[in-house]
Amino acid sequence: MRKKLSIALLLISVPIIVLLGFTVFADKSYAYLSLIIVVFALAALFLSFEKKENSARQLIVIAIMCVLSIVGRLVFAVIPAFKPVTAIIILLSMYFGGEAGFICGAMTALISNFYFGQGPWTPYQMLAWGLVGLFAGLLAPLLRRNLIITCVYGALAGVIFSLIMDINTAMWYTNVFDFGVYATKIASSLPFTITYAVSNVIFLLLLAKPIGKKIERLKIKYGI
Amino acid sequence: MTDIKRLHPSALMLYFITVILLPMFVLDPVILAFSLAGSVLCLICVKKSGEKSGIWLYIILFFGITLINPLISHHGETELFFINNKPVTLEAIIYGAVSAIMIVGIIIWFRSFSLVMTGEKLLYLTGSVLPKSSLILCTALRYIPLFKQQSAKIRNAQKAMGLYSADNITDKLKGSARVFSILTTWSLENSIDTADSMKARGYGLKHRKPFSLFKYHVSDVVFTVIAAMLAAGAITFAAVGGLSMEFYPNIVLPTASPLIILCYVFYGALALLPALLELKERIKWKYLTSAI
Amino acid sequence: MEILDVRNLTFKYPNSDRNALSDVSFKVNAGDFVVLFGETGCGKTTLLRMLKRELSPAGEKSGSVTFCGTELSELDARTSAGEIGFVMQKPETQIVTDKVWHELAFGLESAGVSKSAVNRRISEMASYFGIGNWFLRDVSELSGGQKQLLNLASVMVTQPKLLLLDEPTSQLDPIAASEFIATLAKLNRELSLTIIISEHRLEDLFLVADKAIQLKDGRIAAYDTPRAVASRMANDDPMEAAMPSAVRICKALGDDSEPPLTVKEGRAFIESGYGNATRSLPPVERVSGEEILRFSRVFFRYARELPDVLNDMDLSVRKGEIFCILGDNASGKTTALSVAAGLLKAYSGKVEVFGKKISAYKGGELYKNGVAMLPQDVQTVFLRDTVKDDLSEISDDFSSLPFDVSPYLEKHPYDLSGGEQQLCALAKILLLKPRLLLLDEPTKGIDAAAKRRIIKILRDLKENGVTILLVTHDVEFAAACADRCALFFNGSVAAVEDPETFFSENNFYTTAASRMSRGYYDRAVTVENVVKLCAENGRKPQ
Repeated sequence: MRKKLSIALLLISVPIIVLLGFTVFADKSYAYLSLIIVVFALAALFLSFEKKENSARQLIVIAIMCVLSIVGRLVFAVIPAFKPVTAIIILLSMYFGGEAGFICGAMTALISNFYFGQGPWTPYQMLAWGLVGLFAGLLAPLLRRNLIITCVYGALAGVIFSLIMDINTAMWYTNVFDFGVYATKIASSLPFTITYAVSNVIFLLLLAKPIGKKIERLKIKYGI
Repeated sequence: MTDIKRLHPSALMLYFITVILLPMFVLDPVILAFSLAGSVLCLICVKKSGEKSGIWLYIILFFGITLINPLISHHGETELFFINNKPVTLEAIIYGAVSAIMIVGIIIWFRSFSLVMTGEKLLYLTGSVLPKSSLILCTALRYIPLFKQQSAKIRNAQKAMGLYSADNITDKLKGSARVFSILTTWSLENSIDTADSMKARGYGLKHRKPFSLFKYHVSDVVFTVIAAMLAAGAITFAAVGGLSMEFYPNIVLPTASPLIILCYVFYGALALLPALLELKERIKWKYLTSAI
Repeated sequence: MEILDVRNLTFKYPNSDRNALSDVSFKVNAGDFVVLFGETGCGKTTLLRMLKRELSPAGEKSGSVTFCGTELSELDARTSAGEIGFVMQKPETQIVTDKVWHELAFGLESAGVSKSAVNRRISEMASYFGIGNWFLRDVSELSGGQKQLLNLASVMVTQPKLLLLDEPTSQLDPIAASEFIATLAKLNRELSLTIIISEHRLEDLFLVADKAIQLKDGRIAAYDTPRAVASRMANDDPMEAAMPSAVRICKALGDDSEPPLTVKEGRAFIESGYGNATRSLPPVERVSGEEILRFSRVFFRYARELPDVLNDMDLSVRKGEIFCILGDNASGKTTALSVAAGLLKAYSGKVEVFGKKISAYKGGELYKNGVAMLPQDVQTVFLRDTVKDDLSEISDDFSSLPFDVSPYLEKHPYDLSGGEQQLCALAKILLLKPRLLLLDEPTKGIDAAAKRRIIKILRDLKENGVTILLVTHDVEFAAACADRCALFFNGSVAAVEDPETFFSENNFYTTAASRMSRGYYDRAVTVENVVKLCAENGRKPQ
């Protein structure tokens, strides 16, 4: 009951706040408004995860995968944009579903930013990585069947992640949403986007088989 | 230990939300100046003494944002000069500078927020609404130091078998991959213990109640009420007084009506609240030490 | 009054062809302290888990378990979780949360206890267990012993009536283990808490337990008072090696009387029963070759602002000897070993291996047919999915090993028991054909039989000219296999002596056999030494 109430509250309050922002005040700060929308989207997704039934073992596996991707991000911090985070999130989603992947992605962004620095970008990052996991969960049967499809998805995920993060930076730089600015930003971050995509493919190729095997073994041995 | 760090997590959360709420909707130079000043003072209060403030980063960010805007926005009447046949206007530069103050301010507020809002406090806030996610967060926080220790152990064990040395870059990468793979197996295999220990202690029973050591003190209530009143006042006065600044085609500063001035006073007090608390604390300590 | 009644309990794991438990029946009275022992793989863990519903493994089960008059499966979920407590082996992996206070509160959170009640109970529990000082700390800052104490305390907060413990002290050093067992005895005495504990090390437990259950191949072989169980145990029983030293001396001498358990009783048994005309055994001949490893004035610290861990340490290890370093937890023993393995670099002083400075070895050269180290946590050694693949990473020449690894080759390393993991990890290390073998706590968490096997392997290696440097807490083990022993204290090695001198001169850091026989016999430090002397002197005329 309480959960339904909070979800209803959420669905009503987002448009109200956005409308208020636009009508009461003349200045439209797109950056803040998008931040609010992102925060509410995250809240809705977190609440939907809470509604799912999960065993203690599943929760612990999710926590472990979060920590592995955080440790991965810390280890590869020296090489910009080259990190195993997305690959680990995709792998987790493939075996434990999109919600698990979403939580892993969002948590990785949240917790690792305790080390890399929190900022208005944290919610965007949480959402971007979370969505990568969520969609991987939807495509799980397909991804599990074929490593090439997984790699293609990994590359796409890198591009999508980069595009979402570019919205954030574009708006924070100019405080308006302008397609011209967005295009410039996309162009300027192209090397990063490529690195994201390539590193995702590399890490998927490296990790998919061994981690997949380990998770399969765990599923058989302990019936998770 | 500063006063603001001792506040109850929900009081803190409320404060940080309200303090960024107004600059969210109005690009007003006075409000933004208060926001920036307040955020900087707050950061000085909450950061540990040896810690870097990162001031240079903020300055670079400020100039970056200020300069980018006139390059993409060519509105405004006062044309200063041309780049690539496109005018660079004074209004666009000023708009850029104002947004830059806003953005730098907010980033500094976030920085203070993450220094004050430790994992423990965050868990308290999310615990009742998002119990499962909070548990994952909590377990992850427990595992991070454990995984760091374990990967050091693994690295040594593998190194002492001559299977991994860090002499060249490919070897280093291969070694890291080995360590990571062993860490994965180790953590997944041992995760069963953690899950069993949760189950053994009744995890999964209905009506779980999150516990925390945080207590609501009178000071938390006082702080919350003051912050809420200041924020509500500032927002109301801003809305009723029509606080707004125009940049294009030329700069129109907000007119200083009594309502607007009240709005400035309220928001200024709100933004400087952490610094005022710190000041109060310092004076109290000075008094105490002189009494001792 | 019975708290637990197990009847004809039989259990089989899904993919197994033999019963893990067969027709197990026993009753436990409220307030009893019961120790459960048996060889690795005899079903101890399975039995304990069958007594805790939340942890019962899936498989074919028959028979019944009744707790306080109610069948386990019919217990209310809250009662089952709260009134039966369970503590596992590894201190590290049982902890769920990041803060000590939160871990204590976890069980009460699950039970939905109100905030004020949780506060009172965890405060009370923290002060009872002496946790008050580290109540607000991160769990990652605690020592192994503190972690296990925290695990115990966080189970005790729900006020269980029955406490089950599965080898809780096997990962702890002897001092922390004794403290842990003393705490259990105190809980049993003061709260009349019913305890069932399984353990490898029985020296301390046999003294405090009311009852002992011996499990053999999934069946109950004996269930009586510890003294009676010890008395009836056959001499060739594999568990004989796990008995308290006094019992082993008595049994080895073929004495059928009720065996002594404590050091005090053991001493009385020797002094009243056997003469001491011959007070000591002939000295052991020990030959050693040239110097293999040398530390001269070595200093080490982990970071500039931290204190020295190795402080002016000198050490000399000679070819073909087994050199044991004993000492407290966290005294820097492992650090010393890591410096000898070239994993850490001393900031001052000289370390020489095979007559060459350690820094002169480049890129893994030191580890090729040179130095090898078995870490404390042997799970860090394995990478592959089968033991065979893991060993093949080093070499395929399995026949060169001094023991047979064939039963384990096709298994996943994590499916092996602690003792088997130890053996396979050692095999992997030995395939490197080291001339100097470094071992860190090689007997941690393994049973008496596995310990005997390790001692034999080390002796064989020594015969083949391998030099062994090991650090350990285990005094019985050091006394049984060392050629020279040293006490590590305050960052350096304090006394280097042969084990007979070392242990007979130490008052606390010594074996039970030495404490029993000192003053009556000289330089008798192992059970075997004492038995030999007793036998040689013969029985006193009654």
